[in-house]
Amino acid sequence: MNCATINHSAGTRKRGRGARRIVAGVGWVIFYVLLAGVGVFMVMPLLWMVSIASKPLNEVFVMPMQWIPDNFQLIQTINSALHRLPVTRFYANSLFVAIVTTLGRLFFCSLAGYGFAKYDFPGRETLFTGILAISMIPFIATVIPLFIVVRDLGWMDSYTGMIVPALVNPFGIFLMRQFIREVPDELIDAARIDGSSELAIYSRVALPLIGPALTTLAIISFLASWDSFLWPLIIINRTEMYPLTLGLGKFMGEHIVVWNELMGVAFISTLPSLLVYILFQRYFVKGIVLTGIKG
Amino acid sequence: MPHSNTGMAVNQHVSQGRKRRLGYFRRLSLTGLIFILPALLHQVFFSIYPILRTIGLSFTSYDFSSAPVFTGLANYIRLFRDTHFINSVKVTVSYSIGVSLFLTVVSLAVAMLFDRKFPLRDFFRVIYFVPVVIPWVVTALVWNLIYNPTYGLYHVISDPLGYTKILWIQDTDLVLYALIIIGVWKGFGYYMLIYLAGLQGIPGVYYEAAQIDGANRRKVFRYITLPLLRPSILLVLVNTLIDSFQVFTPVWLMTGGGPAEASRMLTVYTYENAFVFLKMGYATAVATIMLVVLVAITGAQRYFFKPLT
Repeated sequence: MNCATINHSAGTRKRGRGARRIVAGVGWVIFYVLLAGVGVFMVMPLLWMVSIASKPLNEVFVMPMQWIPDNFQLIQTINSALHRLPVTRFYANSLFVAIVTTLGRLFFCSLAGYGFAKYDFPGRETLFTGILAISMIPFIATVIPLFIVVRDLGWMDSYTGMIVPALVNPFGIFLMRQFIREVPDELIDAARIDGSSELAIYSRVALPLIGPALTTLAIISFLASWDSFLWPLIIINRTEMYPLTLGLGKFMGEHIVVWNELMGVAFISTLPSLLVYILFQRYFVKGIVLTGIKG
Repeated sequence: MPHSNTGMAVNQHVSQGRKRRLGYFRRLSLTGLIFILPALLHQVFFSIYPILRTIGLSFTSYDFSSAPVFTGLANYIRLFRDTHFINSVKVTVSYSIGVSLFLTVVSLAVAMLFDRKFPLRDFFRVIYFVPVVIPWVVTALVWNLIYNPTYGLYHVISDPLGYTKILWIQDTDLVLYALIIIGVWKGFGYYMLIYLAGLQGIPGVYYEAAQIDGANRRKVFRYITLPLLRPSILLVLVNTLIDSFQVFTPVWLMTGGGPAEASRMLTVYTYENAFVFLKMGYATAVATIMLVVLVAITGAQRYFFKPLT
């Protein structure tokens, strides 16, 4: 797997020298102003969100705006939001679905990836191409029959309905196969000679060696599940089964909006995603580079 | 042994009779099939069957309470005369092209700024990527408030310029721009990283050679950077198109397709036909058209991409 990694010691590029240095100096100022400007644009919506969530309701839209209120009450606001609306329930739903979906995906995709990578069976390449082709299908083109299938199976308004259709992802299988291919065949053969069962080889030899790939897939799956809106919108009608996305969406439609509480809920909804991002940053970079190579 | 691509050196291990050897390898082969079986079955059931059924249903009239009625090409014929459908197509194409062009160009420009070592580089890179991980629902919520005519954050920028009240998502002319801004905001960090990976893949020696030959920055960009980045540019272009084509959540939550259909993307149109108007046959026809377009775009990319690698 020859993926380019972000190289922090990029080539040798010389700066302007001699009399050009003054202009170069001004250039750097403009450079950082530009970067800061873009940075502000990227982050401002979120900072505003937290800022609103930290203010008492009557101060929320006061101009000129105070970014950090004197009366910092983020925790209290979130607390009262949790009491007023069934957010905890929504949060638990989302968390449960996301975790189970992620674990399930790791299992099924790695299983299939292992099969595609380390075995030779008739039709292997055709099947794999087929799997890749599935990833070209837009979700909107499958929702209607999926809805019918799920309804007929009795999975409406259930965790099963939210989890099972998402358990396998073609890209996940692709990712797993790519990484498992790198596992030396000698290790596998050695395990076979020692009398290990195929399943044990998969779990004890191959899996431990593809830790980074598993982490990457886990991150992608978790974030995707945490973010999913359209599918729950279609199959979940009972409020107590709402994931956080639906719950938040519902609050948006209300006429009387308690803005600070709404932003507080939005803030805590973002926390898992942000946490995953901050903790596993390098996996994002690697994962994106892989996507780039895959095309 | 012809099975060299499996790398199975175990043939040394198996020494007893031909029959046993054949049985062993066949069993091994079948084990492979068993490993992929769960995922395969899942995809057949939850991906392949649904897409085929979508196409099939598009030739019927299906209101969900009774069985589908075969109507042949009626749905498609009606679609091409349906002003609402044509409007949705226009809306989707405008939005997609808007987001795509902007992202393709701007992400590249900023990525080029990042293609060197400078203080705070990692800090900015981390910051730029944050919108990518923010859930769409939260994005819709916050930006909805940012665009709020009376209270929105946009005032911070527009008030000094003299505009006191802008109806971002209530104005039919502005709503798509408002949505495009959000789309760009959300995707920027991701595509910047893709470009960065592409840029870092260009060997430094090319730049050095150009410098020795006395090339100025513009020439370097035009004759070295740009040609070598063509795969990345194509990748970003296609991916942004495909991604923005399928946008649903922010549109549904912020505008519901309005005002007056000005933001009624094809995804929204499909959803409404299926689950609001209960015209499932019609909805699947729209979905099939979307499928064809997206597969065509992806196929075109694969076709052009292969010669470039």
